[in-house]
This record gives sequence, C-alpha cells and structure tokens, in this order.
Amino acid sequence: VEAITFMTFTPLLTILVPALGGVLAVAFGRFGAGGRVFALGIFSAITVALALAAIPGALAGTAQELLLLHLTPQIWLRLRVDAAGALFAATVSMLFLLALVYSAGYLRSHGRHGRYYSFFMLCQACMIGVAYSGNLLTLLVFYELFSLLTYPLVIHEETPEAMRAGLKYIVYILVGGSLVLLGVIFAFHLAGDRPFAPGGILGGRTDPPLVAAMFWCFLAGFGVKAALMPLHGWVPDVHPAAPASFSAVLSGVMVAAGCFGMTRVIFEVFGVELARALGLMPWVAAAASISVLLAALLAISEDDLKRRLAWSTISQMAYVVLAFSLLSPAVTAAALVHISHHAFLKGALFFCAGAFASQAGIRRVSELRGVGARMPVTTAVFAIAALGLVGIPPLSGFVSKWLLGTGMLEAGSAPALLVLLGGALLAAFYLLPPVWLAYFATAREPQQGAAIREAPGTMVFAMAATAVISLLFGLAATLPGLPLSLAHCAVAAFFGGG
Amino acid sequence: MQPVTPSLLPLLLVAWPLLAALVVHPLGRRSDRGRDYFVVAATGIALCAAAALAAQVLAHGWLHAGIPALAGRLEFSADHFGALFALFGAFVWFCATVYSPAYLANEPDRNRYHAASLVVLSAYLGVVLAGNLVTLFVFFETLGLVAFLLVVHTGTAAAKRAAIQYLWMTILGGVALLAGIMLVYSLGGGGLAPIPVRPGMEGTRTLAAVLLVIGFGVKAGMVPLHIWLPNAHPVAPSPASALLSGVMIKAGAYGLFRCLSALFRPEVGTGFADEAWGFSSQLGLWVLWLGIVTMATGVVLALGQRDAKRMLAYHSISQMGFMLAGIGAGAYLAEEGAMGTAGGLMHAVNHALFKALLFLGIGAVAFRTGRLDMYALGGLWRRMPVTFAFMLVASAGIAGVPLFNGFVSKCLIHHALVSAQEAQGGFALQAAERVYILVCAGTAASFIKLIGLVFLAPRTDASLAGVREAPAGMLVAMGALAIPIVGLGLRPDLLLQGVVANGLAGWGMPDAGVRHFLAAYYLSSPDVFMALLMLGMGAAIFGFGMKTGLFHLSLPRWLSVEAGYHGLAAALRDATLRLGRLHGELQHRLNWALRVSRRRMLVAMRDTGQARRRLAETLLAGAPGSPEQAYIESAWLVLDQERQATIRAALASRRDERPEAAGEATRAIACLLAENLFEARLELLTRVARSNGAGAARGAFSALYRAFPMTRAEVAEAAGLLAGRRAQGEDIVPAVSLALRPMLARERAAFRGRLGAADAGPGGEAASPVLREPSRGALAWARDLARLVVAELRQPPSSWPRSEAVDADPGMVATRRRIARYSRDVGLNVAAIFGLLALFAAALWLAAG
Repeated sequence: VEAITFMTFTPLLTILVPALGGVLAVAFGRFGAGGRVFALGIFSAITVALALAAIPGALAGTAQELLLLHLTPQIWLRLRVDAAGALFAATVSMLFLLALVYSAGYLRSHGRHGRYYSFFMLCQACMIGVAYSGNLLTLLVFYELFSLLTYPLVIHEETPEAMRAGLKYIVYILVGGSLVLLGVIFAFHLAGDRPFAPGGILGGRTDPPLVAAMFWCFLAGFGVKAALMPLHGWVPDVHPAAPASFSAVLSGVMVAAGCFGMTRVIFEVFGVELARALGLMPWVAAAASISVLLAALLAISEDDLKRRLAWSTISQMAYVVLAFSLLSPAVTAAALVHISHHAFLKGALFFCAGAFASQAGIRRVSELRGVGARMPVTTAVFAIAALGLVGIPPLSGFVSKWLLGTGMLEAGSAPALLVLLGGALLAAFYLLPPVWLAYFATAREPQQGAAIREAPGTMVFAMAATAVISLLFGLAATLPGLPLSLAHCAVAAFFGGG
Repeated sequence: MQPVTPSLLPLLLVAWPLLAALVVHPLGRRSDRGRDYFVVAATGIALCAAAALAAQVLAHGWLHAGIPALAGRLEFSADHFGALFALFGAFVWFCATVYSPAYLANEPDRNRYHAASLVVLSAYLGVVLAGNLVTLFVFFETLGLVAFLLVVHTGTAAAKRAAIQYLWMTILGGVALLAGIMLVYSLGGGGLAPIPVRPGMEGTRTLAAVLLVIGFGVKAGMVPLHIWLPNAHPVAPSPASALLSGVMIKAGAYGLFRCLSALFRPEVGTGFADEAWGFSSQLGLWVLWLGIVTMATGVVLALGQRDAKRMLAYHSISQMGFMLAGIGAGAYLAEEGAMGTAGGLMHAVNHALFKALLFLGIGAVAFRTGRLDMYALGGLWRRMPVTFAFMLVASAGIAGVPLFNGFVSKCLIHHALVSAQEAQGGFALQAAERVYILVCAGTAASFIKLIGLVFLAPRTDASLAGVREAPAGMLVAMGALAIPIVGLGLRPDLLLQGVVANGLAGWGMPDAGVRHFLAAYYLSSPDVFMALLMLGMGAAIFGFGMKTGLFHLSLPRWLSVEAGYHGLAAALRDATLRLGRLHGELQHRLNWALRVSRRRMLVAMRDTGQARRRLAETLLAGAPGSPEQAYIESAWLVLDQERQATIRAALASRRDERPEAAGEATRAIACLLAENLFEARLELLTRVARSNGAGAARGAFSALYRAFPMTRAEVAEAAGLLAGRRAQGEDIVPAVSLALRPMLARERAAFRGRLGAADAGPGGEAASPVLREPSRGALAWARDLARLVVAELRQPPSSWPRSEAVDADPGMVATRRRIARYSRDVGLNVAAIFGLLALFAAALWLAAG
C-alpha cells in the first residue's frame, strides 16, 4: 500500500487551485480591477509552484498516479504525472500566469472582466488536467472542457467579427472533439480502460482496419486543435478576434494541446511499434510538411499582424507533428522541447502585437513603420521573439531547431530537414520585415506617432519575462529541469529506456 | 595533433568584448569622451589578450575551454591558425576603434555603433576560436546579424537598401551553413577535426561540403554570392568598412579554410598515398577555381568604379579570391600544399592590414573633403601628406610591390598555382595562372588609379584648397596599421615560419614547402622580376584605360549577377503574393458555397417543418373549415380589436379633461357604443359572407375597415357628450341609439358601395341584436380544443418569451377568448360532476342508512 502524503495530491491541487480561482473570479471583482488580478495572480502563482514542484519527481522517472473518481465499475478518472505531462503543465501554468499579468494592463478599456478572468482560470485548470491525465477518458474530459470553456474568451470583445470567429471556432472544435470521442470509443472497445503506458495499451489485440480507423480519428480530432492543414481553418480567424492576452495562450499552449494529445496517443496508446507497423506515418508527415510550408507562405502575404502570427503558429506546430511522424527518439524529444520553447516565443509575439494594437492602434504590419522609437521595449521583445522563432542563436528557437534538425537526420529523413530549414527561412521572411519596419523605416506621418507611448508596466513585465525565458531556455537549455531534460526523460520512457 | 592544454583564455577573450558592450550604453549616455576611452581600452585589452593567447599557443600548443550552453557545450579551442586570426582581427579592431571617435564625432547613434562593434568583435573571436561547429555557427550568425547594425548605421536610403540585401544574404547563407553543419553531425563529426569517413555516405558528405562552402562563401564574398558586399561595405562608416572588409569577411575565409584543412581531410596520420585524400583534394580544386573566378570578377568590376570605397569593396572580393585560390591549391596538393595554404593564410592577414588601412585612409579623405568620387578629387598629397604616405604603403602592399607584405603572399600563391598545374598537367590550371597574373596587374592598375587620381593628379577643384590633414587620432590608427605591412614584407618568416609552419605541423601536414619558399624563393630575382612585370602591366592598363575611357564602360545589365538575384527575389515575392491571393479567393469561394448551401438547407428545413405542422394540424383538427367560416372568424377578431381600440380612443381623448367619475361614465358609454357597433358590424359581415361568398366579402371588408377611424373619432366625441349629459341626470339610452344610427348608416353605405349589390336587408338598426353562439356538439368541442393546442404549437419559437406585442396578436386574443370559454364550460361540467357525485354519495348514504 502506497503511503499517502501531501505529494500524492499535488496533481489534483494543481488543477483545483486555478479552478477555485476561476470560481471566485467574479467575487474578487469587489477588490477592484487590480485587486482581482492580484488575487488571481496568487492562485496562478501557486499553480506554477505546484506544477514546478512536480518536475523533480518526473525527472527521477517515477510517475505519480492518483485515481480520482470511479465513474463506472470499468472506468476511472485517473491523474498521472510523467515527464511529458510535467513539462506541458509547467509550460501551461507559466504562460497563463504571464498572460494573466498582461491582462491586467491590456483589458483596462474593455468590460466583462469577471467573465473573462473566470473562464481564463478555468481554462488553465482544464489544460493542466489535460497535461496530467492518466488515461484516455480523463484526457478527453479535460480536453473537451477546456475547448468549450475557451469560447467565451474567444468572443470576449463581442464584436461581429469575434462572434463569427467564435462560431467558426466552436464548430471546428466540436467536430474535432467528436472525432476524439470516437477514437476513445474505439480504444475502449479494443483495450478497455487502461492507463496510458509507454509502448501502447492495445497489446496484441490488433484489428488492422479498426486500429487504422482509430488512428485517423485521433489524428483528425487532435489535428483540428493542432491546426494541421487542412483542419486549420479556425486559427487565422480566431486569433485576430480574441483579446491579445488570450491569443498568446491560445497560440502558445492551446494549439500545442492538440500536439500533446497526439503525443499521448501515438506513444502511449498505440506505442512506437504499432504506430510504425501501421505504416500511416508518411501520410502524416506529408500533411505536416505541407502545413509547414504553405502556412509560412501564406503568412508572408498576410498584412494583419495577428493573422500573420496565427499562420506562423500553424507552421510551427506542424514541425511538431512532422517530428512525431518520424517516430525516432531524438526528434521526438526535440518536438516536445519545441512545444515549450514555441509557447513563450509566440506568447511574446502576441503580447507585443496586443501592445501595438492597444497603445498605437496598429493592427497591420505595414503600420508598424517607425514604432520602434516610440515603444522601445515592446519592439525589442518583438525583435527578440521574432529572431528566436527564426532560430537565431542563442535564443530558445535555435535550440529546438538544432535538435529537430539533427534528430531528423538521425531518423534518416533528409526531406524533413529540408522542410524544417525551408520553414525557418520562410519564418525569417514573414517575421523580420515587421522588425525592420519598426526600427528602420521612417513613419509616413511623424506627427501622428507623437501620442504613442510604451505599454503599461504589467504588459511590459509579461513581455520582458517571455523574452528572458526564451533567452534562458536557449542559453541554458541543458540545465536539469528545463524542457530538454524533461523531454529526454519522457522520450526515454516512450522508446523503452532508449 | 598536439597536446591540448585547458585554459580559460579563449573563453575570456570571447566574453570580454561582449561584457564590455553591455557598459557602452550607460557610459555613453553620461559622456561621449568616457565611452570613447572605454571602447579603445576594451579593444586594447582584447588585443593584449589575443597576443597573450598567441604567445601561449606558441609556447604550450593548443588551448581548450568550454562552458555548457545551448543544447550542448560551447567549446573554444585555439590552435596556431585560430590564434593567428584572433590576433590580427583584434589588432585591426583596435586600430579601427582608435580611429573611430574622431571620425564618428558628427554621426548619430554612436553608442549603438560602439556596442555593435564590440559584440561583433566578440562574435568574430568566437568564430575563429570555436572548438566545434555549433559554437562556430552560433558566433557566425551573431557576427552576421549584428554587423547588420554597422551596415545600416548611417540610415541613408542607400544604406537601408544595402542592409536589407546584406541581411537576406546572411540569412540564406546561415541556413545553408546550418544545414551543412547538421549534415556533418549526422556523419559523426562536429568538432574541428576530420569527419569520420563512412562507406555509403559519400553523397551526404558532398552535400555537406557544398552547403558549408555556400554558407561560408556568402560571408567571404565568393562569386556568385558576393552581390551584397560592394553595396554593404561602402555605405558603412569608414571604420566599420575597414572592419567589414578587413576582418569580418575573414570569418568566411576562416570557415572555408577549416573545411578544407580540418573537416573534409582524412584523420591526422593518414598516409598521403591513401585515397581518402581524394575528397579534400577535389574540394580544394573547386575552391581554387571559385577563387580564380572571384578574383577576376572582382578586379574587372573594381576597375570600372568611380566611388573610391566601392572600388575598395570590389577589391575585397578580388582579394578573397586570392585567399580561396591559395587555400584551395593547398588542399588540392595535400602533401605539397604548404605553400598554397601559407599563401592563402598570409594573404588573409595582409589583406586585413592593408584593406583596413585603405578604408581608413579613404575615410580620412572623405572626412576632410566630404567626397568619395575619385575623379572629383586630386592634389591631396600636398594637403594630406601623412595620409598620402600611409595610403601609399597600403597600395604598395595590395599591389604586391616587393618588400611589402602583399608581395610575399602573392608569390606564395603563384608558386602554389604553378605546383598545382604541374601536379595536374594540362592547360586548365595554366590558364588559371595566366588569369592570376592578369588579376595582379589589374590590381596594380586599380591602385595606381586610386593614388593617382586622389593624391597626385592636379587639383581640379578650388574647394579642395583648404583641406587639412586628418586628426591625430586617425593618423595614429593608420600608422599602427602601416607598420606591420612593411614589417611582414621585410620579415615574412616571423609569420610563415613561426605560426603557419608550426600550425601545419600540428595538423600533421608537411611544412617543408614554407621553409623551401623562405630559403629559395623569397626576394629571388624571378619573383621580383615577376612582381615588377605585373606592376608594369598595371601601369600600362592604367594608362590605356585613362586614355580610352575603358574605365567608364559599364557591363550590360543582363551580365549582372545582382540583377539575376533581384529578378529571382521579385519572382518569388510575386509568386508568394499570388499564392496568398489565390488562397484568399479559394477561401472566399468556399465560404460562399458554404453559405449558399446553408441557406438552401435552412429553406428546406423550413419547408419540411411547415409541411409537418400542416400535417399534424390536419390530423388533429380535421380539415380546415369552410372559407366563409374562416373569414367570419378572422373578421370577428378584427372587429373585437376595433372595439377595444374604440374604447381606448374614447378614454384617451377625455381622461385629461374630466374628473375621475366622469371618466368612468365615458368608459361605460363608450363600451356600450362599441359593443353595439361590434355586433352590428359582425351581423352585417356574416350575412354578406353567407350570401355572397367569402371572396366578395373580404374585398368589401377593406372598405368598411377604412371607415373605422372616422367612426372611432365620432364615438369618442359622442361618448364625451353623453357622459356630460348623464352626469346631469338625463336618461341617455335613446340618445345612444340615436348617436349610433348615422355611423352605422355611413359604414353600411361604404360597405355596399364596395359590394356593388343592394343586399342590405332590414337589420342593422341601433337596437342591439343578440348574436348567439351556435350550439355545438361534443365532437366540435374536442376538435376546438385540439386546434387550440395546435395553435400553441404553431407559435414560432422566437416568440416564446412573451411580450406585449404578442398580446396584441390576433391569434392570442382568439385563444384567450376560447380558453375563457372552455374554462367556463369546464367549470360548469365540473360543477355538474360534483353535483352528480354529491347525489351519488347521498344515494349511497341513504342506501346504507
């Protein structure tokens, strides 16, 4: 009998604390706008602390399990903290905390704060639930919950565009969610309720057509969230419509949740052997490659800054899917690292885009001319994050690009490397022109810019923090506890100690 | 390989300028002078550290340091070659930094310039001291991107154009380099050491070599990747130009040198007969030819320039060609290649010295005169004698005048080319050697032109009369650069023997060629004769060119590589934009199609829903009644509404004038009038509908309806009057029927007029006829109840939340009325049942009793 200690319940607490925050968010309104964010910030900071506290255990290779609820005699809701989950949960909680701080400055002029903060915290709780879920049903429950709870955040501004985008979002997500549900049903039919296990849970019972159908269900279902082309339709519409503080989270970790779901399914439901035996991975690789390149090309010709960043997210997340499709340890570790690194880089970019929009009314790339002198910190963070995403050393983007590239070669896939570097080059083409315009182009109407001022302190803090984290993840990528070590730990489990 | 000593020195050398760069901004905000002293001191310290590093390498062999960073470790190591590049780089940097405060005094953003300069120094040192390829790449990218700030520094339109071009070329080169390095890692390499040869991986090896050559070649200005260089170098401030042309492009040359001499050669100790040497030898031949093409292109384009800095930039390309030819020949010859490698390396050092000096000198001229057009200058040797002397030294160096440094390296490379030709045989390399001689002559011509036009030609412009000598700081910097140009020309053995030969030995390469050169060829009469011949040819070209105007010929545009790049870039951009538009259009069409199908679906759903309701209604309530009946029912509704409206109108017109009691009276009288009107009208309509049919009656009804407002007004008036009379105690019943008569007569007339038939009948008097409900059977009762339910069901969902508007809806009024009726009926029935039950109970009680 395992000893029940405080640590046994940390996974549950990590989910409950932000959920409690979400429940109390409306009540906290009596403390005033600043007071509410401060109070929720405490909840969020506790969540971060709990998520970080799970890392040493995950690194040691001991997956903590907690049976949560006995739904039926056959089905448990089950939490489990392994390295991949700990990594994702830590990323999620940190980005949510930063986005919360950013919201304090960003949301000033809009109403409906109570609803926003409440759903924001609930989303955080459910996403951590996704990271910590220990079997398919738990994953499905949290996944669906956060997908739906996101809706009020998408339509927060309630403009006609936001409502339209919200409708598009909810239709896409519900279809995706149904496909995941179908996949889960297949899995229960084939294997019953078994916890995730490296090497797969299907065992020897393989019914090839059924397993293939289940694979496509999961892939298409999670692919909607991961914005894998051609299931990406909601991404470029939702991001510009949502408030920037939420766009950052949406692009940074919510899209990545689709990729995380794929990780669980490919490596812990099917298992590497079965996934390879299915022989479907080349199709996935093809779809991902097309996503990388096509989305990047479309980003180049997009003038709306947030839409451009949304296309960039599609392109970057397709790297991850491409990496999974190679089924090789090094590149899988690189993909998990990339999820984490990309979260903060893309978060920083969206924070900056929000600051440009709220402080200077700039929503288009072509309007960025000469804004660098007016908003130095924002532009600097934007430049750092853009360079990071292009993969310039010593930022975190370089580390993930390097790991992905060498991993792809180790897996023996030169075409994948070509796609990766092509994507990086195209990223330079769509991310560096804004930086150039901001710093070196002269503003068309100089007097117009005189009123533009730097963003308020909370926003600047959040932006600077993402930039610092990106630099730290780049410079000290090998430090134990940072994404690389956790990813190695997770991959070692997925590939059976390899 | 030599023993490796752990030492922190390489790491500190790289880190120091980076740390110093952090202080530049805060310092510069306080005082310009303090910052200037600080940056000079910082580069001075870097120079001292580089010298110490070189001394340590010479004394103890290779040094090594490393720190964990990025995805692995940043490794630094210093062998003889790395130390050499670090030393001359730091030296030139120091000189350019000494020069810069005076030059930049009037430029904006000095803090940014100095900070960027220090970061680039750090990056350059990182490149040449890198111990593995990742470290090299990290610093190489940093170098390329931060040097962008130096290129764009002046902020003019030309600078911005050049900087954008530079940036894209750097990024493209960076991607190629990264791909190459990744391939090297996949081959099992990674350090600055030979990549293990694996059977079956020749393709990957070749690809890696090509990618690395492209990646380094972009930075080195190798043709055809050179296009950025002649645009970017001249637009930078002169000290930055000196650094860009003198030192930074050497990073590319260094990379190519390492490719040939370390990465793609076999393991140290492999016998030279081994066929493993074939790869690096072949690669060397390619690089040699690239070098020949590069030097020829550079010099031809340089001769056609007017702008002095642009000309120098083209000569940078050309001189890089010399270096590539030298190290290429060295790698091609392998065992015999010492002279080529030594020539290439020494030329890198020499070029750094004299090209930096030339840029600084031309910078001094531009600083004093404000112009760079060689043809617009002249006679400056009298005005700027010290600058002139230094420029003369530098030109002698680059033109290969004996006793100056360029002479030595050019002779070395020439000997290497001759050896390569002997080794290969045939005519190809012989042609290369002839091209080499012509390029040397062209270089000489070019610098005769520079010195001649700028300093010696008679002064053409009076405004140049007041030009003064450059400031002292600039002269000191130039003087410091001039010393080693002469020194290396006189004592080349210090460099060749002390550093290059020892370095080659450290890599297991024979250094006999270098010793042989120093002993047999240095300042030998054939070499000196050759050099003088080249100078003579150069003078002839210069004379010929000035006479015939050859220098002003411009090549046709289609020959320009740059135009090709621009065309390609424009085509790619257009293709991308077209793709974006295509995608937008596709999405638009898809959305349109979806919207159309959605609308169709909604229409179909509505139609089905209506059909379903109609079916349900028919099933529940039987077929709808006759049209006449339906007409009468609807007329009943309208009339009832009108009755209510009439009462409201009467009240509204009187209430504000009368006390409450009178209001009550008005209401009662208005009710009476309206009730009578209602019944008379209904009877009229019923009769007409029964006799003439619903269709005719419906048309006539609209005429009647138009008469309503007038009647309403009359009723309101009459009610007010009658209420007043009643208040006085009169009996008003006759008056009521009297008042009604004209109204009814008028309405009937309107009605009949419309109906067109004199079918009025006797009724319609003001006497109130009682309209009785037709008695109905139980079946009809049930059917009505069902219809009520159906009517409820028929309410569209949107009107579920009831509002006042709904209350006025005729359907609702009718339903309410029916409900009232049915409840009354039900109430009666229930009462009857209770009565029966009571009787039943009484009967039981009686029976029991």
